[in-house]
Amino acid sequence: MTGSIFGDCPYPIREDLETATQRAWEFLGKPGNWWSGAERVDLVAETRAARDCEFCAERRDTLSPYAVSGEHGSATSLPSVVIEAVHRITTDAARLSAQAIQEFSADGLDDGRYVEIVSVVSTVLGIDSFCDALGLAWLPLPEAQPGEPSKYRPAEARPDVGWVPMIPSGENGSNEADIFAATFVPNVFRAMSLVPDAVRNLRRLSAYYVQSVGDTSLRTSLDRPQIELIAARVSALNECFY
Amino acid sequence: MGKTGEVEHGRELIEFADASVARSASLPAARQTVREAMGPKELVDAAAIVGNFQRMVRIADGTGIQLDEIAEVPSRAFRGRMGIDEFASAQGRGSH
Repeated sequence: MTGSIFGDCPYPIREDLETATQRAWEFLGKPGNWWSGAERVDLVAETRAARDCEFCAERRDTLSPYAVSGEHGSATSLPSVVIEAVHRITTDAARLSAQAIQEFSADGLDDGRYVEIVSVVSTVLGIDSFCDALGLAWLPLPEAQPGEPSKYRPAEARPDVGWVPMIPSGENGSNEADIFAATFVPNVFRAMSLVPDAVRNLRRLSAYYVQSVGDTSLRTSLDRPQIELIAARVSALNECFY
Repeated sequence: MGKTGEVEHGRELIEFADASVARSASLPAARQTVREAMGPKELVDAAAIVGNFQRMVRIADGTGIQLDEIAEVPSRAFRGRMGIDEFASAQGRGSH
């Protein structure tokens, strides 16, 4: 597909999928709530470095992530606590814990910045994994956009059903009405609501999980059992409880 | 055509998912198998689901969210049977 953001992809990528990917990728280069555009691009680069980090590979084989010490194979000059958080989410997310988040906080990585890291890392892994699966080159790093982080924190966010504050169901303010419009909002869609733009970006990427219902223009070629089989397999390989 | 339970091409899709997540040397062959057995559109959509859940598991495990109330009770029996409650990520996560 000439002109595609995926280069000369030999496969027919749905337009909605390509558009969603492009917007989500551009979003990564923009100033966020807590990180500048340049810092967010560093988070993208660090996520990619984590996937080939030898220390992370060694640590994953231990009974506890605290059983070994070492240095990460890093691609940036981000603070060490940030590098640790990025690498843990990327390579060993199943063994994260409330204690780990508290330790990040004690080392200067507060909850807002941490949630924004979860957003960036998860977006990169989703898109890079799609490219990997199709044998495509990863997208070039997004272009860092100028500007300052908004430092916006929703007043309604508080401890709820996870390790980080989030907006409880039905308690959102008008600023977040768009992301809480549905009657039922699953926990995974509220998880990053401390950083509302992260939720908006997640919803943008719903093109990756189009089901064979509703808008027929967005219909996927897989049937529901096939979709759920892949979903369950990937979740199990990652030992994801949720 | 490999069926897993009642899922058409289930075996091919599982092998593709496994190879994709592991970025293993078997990925090109697994990709080709899905393409030949199902078609290029199906291959792209399967890759998108892999990408989607590589993303979603990091959000769930990175924030430590509990299961949604709507899923907790119906899933209780098979979670135990399939060992899901024994996953490292299940520790300290309780239900809604």
